[in-house]
Amino acid sequence: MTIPSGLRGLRALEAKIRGLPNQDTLQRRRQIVRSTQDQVRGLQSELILNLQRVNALRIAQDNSDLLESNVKRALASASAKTIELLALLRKDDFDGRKISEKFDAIKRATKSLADDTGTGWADICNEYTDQANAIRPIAERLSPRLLARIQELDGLLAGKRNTPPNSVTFARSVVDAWRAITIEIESLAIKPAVKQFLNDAKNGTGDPKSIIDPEIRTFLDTYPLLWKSLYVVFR
Amino acid sequence: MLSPIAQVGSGATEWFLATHSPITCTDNVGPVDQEELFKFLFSASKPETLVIVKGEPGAGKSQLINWLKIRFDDSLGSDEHPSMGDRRVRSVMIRRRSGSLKDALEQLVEQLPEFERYLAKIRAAIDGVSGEAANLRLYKQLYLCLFDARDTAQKHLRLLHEIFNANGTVKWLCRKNGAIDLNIKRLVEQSDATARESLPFFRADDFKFPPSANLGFDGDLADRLADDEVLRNAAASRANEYLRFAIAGLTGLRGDTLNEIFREIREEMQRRGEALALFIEDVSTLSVLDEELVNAVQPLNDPKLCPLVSVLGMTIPAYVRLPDNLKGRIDRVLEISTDSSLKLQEAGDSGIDEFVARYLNGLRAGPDQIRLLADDVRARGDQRQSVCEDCPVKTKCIEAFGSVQFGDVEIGLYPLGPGVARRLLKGLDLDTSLRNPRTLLQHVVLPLLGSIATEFRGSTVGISLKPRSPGDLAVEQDRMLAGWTAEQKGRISYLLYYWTGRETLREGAAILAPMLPWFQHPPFSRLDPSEGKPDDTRPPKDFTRPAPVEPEAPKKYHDSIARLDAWFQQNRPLERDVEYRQLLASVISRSLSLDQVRIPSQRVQGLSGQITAANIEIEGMIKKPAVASKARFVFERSHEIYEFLKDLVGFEHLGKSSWRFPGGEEARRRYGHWLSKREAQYIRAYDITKCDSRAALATGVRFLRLAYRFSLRKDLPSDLAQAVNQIVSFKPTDTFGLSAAINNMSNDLPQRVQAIRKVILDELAVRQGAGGINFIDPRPIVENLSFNADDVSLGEFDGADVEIDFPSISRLQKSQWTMLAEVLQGEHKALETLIYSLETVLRHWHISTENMPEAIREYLESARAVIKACEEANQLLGNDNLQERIRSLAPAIVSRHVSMIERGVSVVDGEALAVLSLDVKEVNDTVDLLKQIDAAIRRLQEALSQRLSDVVTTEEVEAGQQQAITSIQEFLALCAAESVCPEVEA
Repeated sequence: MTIPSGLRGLRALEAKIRGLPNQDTLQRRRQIVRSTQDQVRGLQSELILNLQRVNALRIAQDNSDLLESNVKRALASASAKTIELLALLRKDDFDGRKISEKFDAIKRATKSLADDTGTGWADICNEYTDQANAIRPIAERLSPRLLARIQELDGLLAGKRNTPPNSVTFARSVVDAWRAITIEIESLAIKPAVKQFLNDAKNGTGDPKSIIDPEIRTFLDTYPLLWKSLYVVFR
Repeated sequence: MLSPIAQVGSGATEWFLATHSPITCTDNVGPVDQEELFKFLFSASKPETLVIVKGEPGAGKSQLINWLKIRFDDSLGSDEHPSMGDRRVRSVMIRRRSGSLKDALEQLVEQLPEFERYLAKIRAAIDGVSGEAANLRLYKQLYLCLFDARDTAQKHLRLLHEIFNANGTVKWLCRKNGAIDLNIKRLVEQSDATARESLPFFRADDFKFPPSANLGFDGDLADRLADDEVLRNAAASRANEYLRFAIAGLTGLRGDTLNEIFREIREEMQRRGEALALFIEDVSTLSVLDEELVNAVQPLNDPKLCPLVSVLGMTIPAYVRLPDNLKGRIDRVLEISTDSSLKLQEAGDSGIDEFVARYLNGLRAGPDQIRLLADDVRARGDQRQSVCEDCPVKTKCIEAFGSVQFGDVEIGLYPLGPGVARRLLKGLDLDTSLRNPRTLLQHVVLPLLGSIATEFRGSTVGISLKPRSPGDLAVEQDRMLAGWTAEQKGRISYLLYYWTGRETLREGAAILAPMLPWFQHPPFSRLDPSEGKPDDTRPPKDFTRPAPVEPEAPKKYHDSIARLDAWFQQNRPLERDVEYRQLLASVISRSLSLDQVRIPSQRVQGLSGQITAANIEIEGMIKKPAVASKARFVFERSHEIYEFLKDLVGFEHLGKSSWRFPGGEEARRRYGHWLSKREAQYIRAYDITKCDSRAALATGVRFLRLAYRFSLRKDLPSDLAQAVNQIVSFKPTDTFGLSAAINNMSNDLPQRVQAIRKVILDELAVRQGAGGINFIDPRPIVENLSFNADDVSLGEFDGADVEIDFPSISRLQKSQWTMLAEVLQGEHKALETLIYSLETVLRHWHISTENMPEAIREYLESARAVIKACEEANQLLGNDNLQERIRSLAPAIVSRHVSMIERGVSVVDGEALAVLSLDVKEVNDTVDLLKQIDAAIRRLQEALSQRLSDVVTTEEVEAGQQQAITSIQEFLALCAAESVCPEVEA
């Protein structure tokens, strides 16, 4: 026998006895309130998680307004339905179905926010991945350190592309990894003409005549492996 | 030298003869005077003559036998010769003296010194009856006698002889003052004639053996004797049957032994040519040998034996006891009676007057002249000289007291008078009815002479007489006895009748008047003229004229006065004292002003109940005083009381319960005077209590106050009047106690309060008429209510007599009320235990006991809620009454219970005395209710345990609901503040 909190002895006994005549109702109501509480706790956790993800995304994107409208919309919707849920729960006679409907509505609101964060995170991952892939060949030929930086970024994002992070630390580590790559690239001191030549070459649109440009010729001579990577194709 | 018993030895023969009055006895033919008897003996023609002189003690047997002996001796000394011829006659006289067998035998041995060899057995007998071993010898003799006769005994007593041959019984049967011991004493010690008539017999109790003596004889007999009183009586009778025989056996003179001894002596005397004259004053002195003696001296007609003259004195019973064959051998049986000497049957009083005159003359003669008188008696048969002849006051003396003529001489009768001796002898107030010469001498002449010599000390004449108060004493005393002292007035009740033969002063005063100066009395203050002058009223010689006619005064009056006179004047016991005690009881009951006194209290006065004769004690009364527990009103033997009683007797008999009788007015005044003088004394006599009644009262009041508090659980009202009212009226209720002591005290409280209150009210009652108590003196109650309320003792009251004087107070002192403080301590402790026994109950139900009253409130309210819930759930408690009681525990009722516990806790926290302010029953009821509830609910809980195990309560649902709401509110808050969403660092 479970004694209600703060009710012991004769009072507890009295309560038990008093409950005997309407056990079905009390059992059902207890089920509802227990379920309600469980669901609310679940929604609360989920909402917190999504909001944490939004925060992480904003850091990762370095954009404090990221998904702001999405968030407001979702919370407004959830609040409205939660208030309705509260009203239902305060009634003596619980209506399980209505409560369930309200929970569905709240869940939908929180789910939309989850979807938005998932999309945002995917875009970020794609952007970093694309840029890293772009310099990866040059890095393999020009700078092992740069390549190491690119591989570190790869490690951070490995397996987490489908689940948006809710950790601010993680978001900051992704930003930091990208910043390290950038620094390594800048340390190569590539002049604009060279940079243009390399981009074009990477994209297969380079002009072989550019090789005669002294700056480019000098740069290529500095990195003989780069020479070996150049080949000419016909369009 | 005057002795009521014949004194012949030791040179007293002259005195004996001088005062001897001729005795005339009788035989089966007619009167036989002493001289005739002497001649019969002295001149008897037979060689053996046996004469028995029988008569009652004091009749003169010894006197006659002694006279015969003297006469015999005198005749032998003169020229007279007996029939025995020239033989030397040895006369042996065995006198009564101490009356013991030993003494009698010793006299016989002493007077026959030349025949000692024949008397050896008698000497042996003397030794045999003496000494410490005599008891044992008699014990053994009884064994032998009973053994010989065992075949004649009844079945269960066949072995009775064994008792007298058992080591265990010796000490018991031979004990001091046992039958054996008394019989031995009888043989050697002095005894009187009456005692000698029978033996000290065994009684049934002699055969009721103490355990130590119940040994050494037949066990069956021992058991039967122990269990059966009838058998013990039979055993005593059987032993007594052989007692005389055994005693005779003890002397060794049983059977023919004594006969043989006499025979041997007589044979010797015959050889010597002597004769024997044996005079025995009283054969009973020979005790069990009386028959043997008569047998020894009976005529035998044996020529070998010397002549024998035997004169044996015997009492009538002893003679009757003789076997007929022995009686047949007696030559002559003479009977001597009172009249033999005093000749009372003769006309006039000459015989008795002459009898005393001889003594008086002998006394006056003195030792110098007594021989002359004796010689006259020897020579002329009687006195012929009067000592009065030489007396200078002879004429006046004889004029006053009269005289007796002996031949030509006149012997004055002073201090007696003609007929006085006869009246005095008849008027003697003695235990015995014997009126014989010895009585006259012993109880009249000797005391009177002694009293005259001392001038009549006291109100009597020195003789144990029945007073004969003059019939007109009440009427005449003030007139005729003026100036007389109380003693002299008292003495008139003797002098008038006994010295004059008259019953009234009017008739006898003139006769008594000339005697008064001789008695050192003043003359009568006035003589009735009709009686003539005193000088003309010489007492008539002849007092035999008819007695005067009784006056009108009732006989009862005279009788009462006479007994009163004897009581006061002779210092004798008050005969039929109840009559006087009844009169005095009426005085005490009716005349004392008890209504006017408060001490002794009405209760104490009532202790003695109705005052009756039993409460009256008169000094010298015959009846034993009343039991000590009653008031005793003591009246001393004084002249004042004597006079008072006489007045009361007059009031009763003359006035017929009024003062209307001659002299009544004076008596009434005396009565009033007496009453005013003695009233306080006799009121005090009502107080038979010995202990301090004030202390008893204090104890009683203390108790009532405690009882009030004990019963009603509150103190008395502070207002004294109301407090007193409560003390005398409160009704103790049944008081509940937790301890047995309290309950015990409560059980008998109503009766005890009633009893103690009665004592107090009776003590304090102020009598108002004959009704009940309707007014009390409250002061003692008020005084005793002032003691400290904290003092629960009964006060100091320790009197040894309290049990008698205040039995209810005594019982109170022995009760637990004296330990009330301890009892209250016990109750206090029990109360604490009771109240705190609830802690277990309360803790079980998780109720804090820090504040007990509030815990009780919570408990009761919760219990009521449980019951209500049960009823809503159609669940029964299983005890309808209790369920109803719990359901009805409305807040007010709960508060009452809480208040009760609160008061209980307060008492427990205080002193034990505080218990007296608490209704413990109510506390107990509350505790009991709580425990009943506890037990019932526990049972309910157990019964429902299965069903309740999975029950969801509203409270649980509501709690869950509240938790859910809280969570939703938190969620809402989260929605409203998305910017403050926590950052997750890892």
